Amino acid sequence: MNCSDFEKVVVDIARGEMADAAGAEHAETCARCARRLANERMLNGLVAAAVADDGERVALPAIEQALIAAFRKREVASRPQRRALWTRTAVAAIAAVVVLAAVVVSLRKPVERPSKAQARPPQESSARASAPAAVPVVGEVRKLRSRTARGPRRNPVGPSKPQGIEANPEHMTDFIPVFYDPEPIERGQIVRVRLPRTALTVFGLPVNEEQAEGTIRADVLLGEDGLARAVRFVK
Amino acid sequence: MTELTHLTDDDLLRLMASGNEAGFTVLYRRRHPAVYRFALQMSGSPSLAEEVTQEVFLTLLSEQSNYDGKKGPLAAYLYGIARRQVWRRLAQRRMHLPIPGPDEEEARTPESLIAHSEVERDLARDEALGWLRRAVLALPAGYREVVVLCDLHELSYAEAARILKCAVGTVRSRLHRARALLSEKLAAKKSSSSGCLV
Repeated sequence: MNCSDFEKVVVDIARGEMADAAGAEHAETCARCARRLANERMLNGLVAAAVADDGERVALPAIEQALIAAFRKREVASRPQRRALWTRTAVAAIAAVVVLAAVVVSLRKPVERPSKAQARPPQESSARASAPAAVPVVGEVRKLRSRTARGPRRNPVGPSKPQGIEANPEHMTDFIPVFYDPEPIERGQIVRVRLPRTALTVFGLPVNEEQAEGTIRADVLLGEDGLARAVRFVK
Repeated sequence: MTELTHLTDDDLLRLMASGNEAGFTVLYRRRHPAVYRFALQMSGSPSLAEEVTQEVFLTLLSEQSNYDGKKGPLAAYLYGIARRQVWRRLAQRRMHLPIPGPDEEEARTPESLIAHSEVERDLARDEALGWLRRAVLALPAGYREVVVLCDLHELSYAEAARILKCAVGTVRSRLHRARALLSEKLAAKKSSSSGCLV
């Protein structure tokens, strides 16, 4: 090892980062590098003394008091926001539970077969009595599938309603997919339920705040497997 | 409050987020000395160090959600904020302060940085510590940071690199150059004070 190489490792040797036998050996034979190593070790001693001396240095207690005051102020300011967030979350959770409950109820009913297509589901409203019980939703589902890729449409009353629903005087949104399903369903069942109006927000629809406490009718489209595929809201 | 002292930083942060004042107090008492000392050693100004300490924890209060424990420990996050605050304040003060001449070097060193001992035999040690603090403050900024973090705060190269957002090799080379500068000054000081420094 020469002096240049020693210079590269002298700090690490002095700080104890590395034990370099060759470096120590060089320091024994080179007076200049020996002084350099001694200086580094003296510097270490001074640094250690400074660390010990600084150990008790802390900020004034007034800083802590000012920060605690700021913490309290922040808490008072953020409390209403936190409550509003909690309310929104609770409402959304309740809406989700209601939809799930509707799905569970429908699972208990036998899946309609094509031969029973004329049977009337008890959940259907009287206004839709003329519609077949097992709604021929193939066209509707295909529409949903292509729409899912582009995201749900938000404009009310879509142009592609199945026959029988066209004549319905009710105003309703398009079906909004509950989840993305690449497989189109061949047939399914529509169940009429009532949901809190705030459930609209779950699907990205606006809610009239004056009527937010009320309920809204909704049609849940169930696949043959009993899972909810889509929801539309009825006015 | 004592029952909270065994909690981790992240646990205390969660308590803070839920509005627990004791959680914040414990966290402040645990972490503020390092922040304060870093600012003091970087600036040599107790008032600036107090401003920085306050600002760091106010930032933690306001940007609490921005801290991500997966990216690194809270201590590194706080050092990072303190570092930015120190540089900003030093730049502001430099704009308003005259550049001191060589004779004023002693005067610009804050008295509070030099521990005064009542015991006479400690005077040499205090003088040596005062010399070290002045020498560190006189280092170029980039070198000063690594000396403060690696030597005075005893952080590893990797920890310092995370705070300074640079490579470990950069920290190592900066520390070597900084120590070489300090060593040169130490040798000069030794020779002028007939070899006895501590």
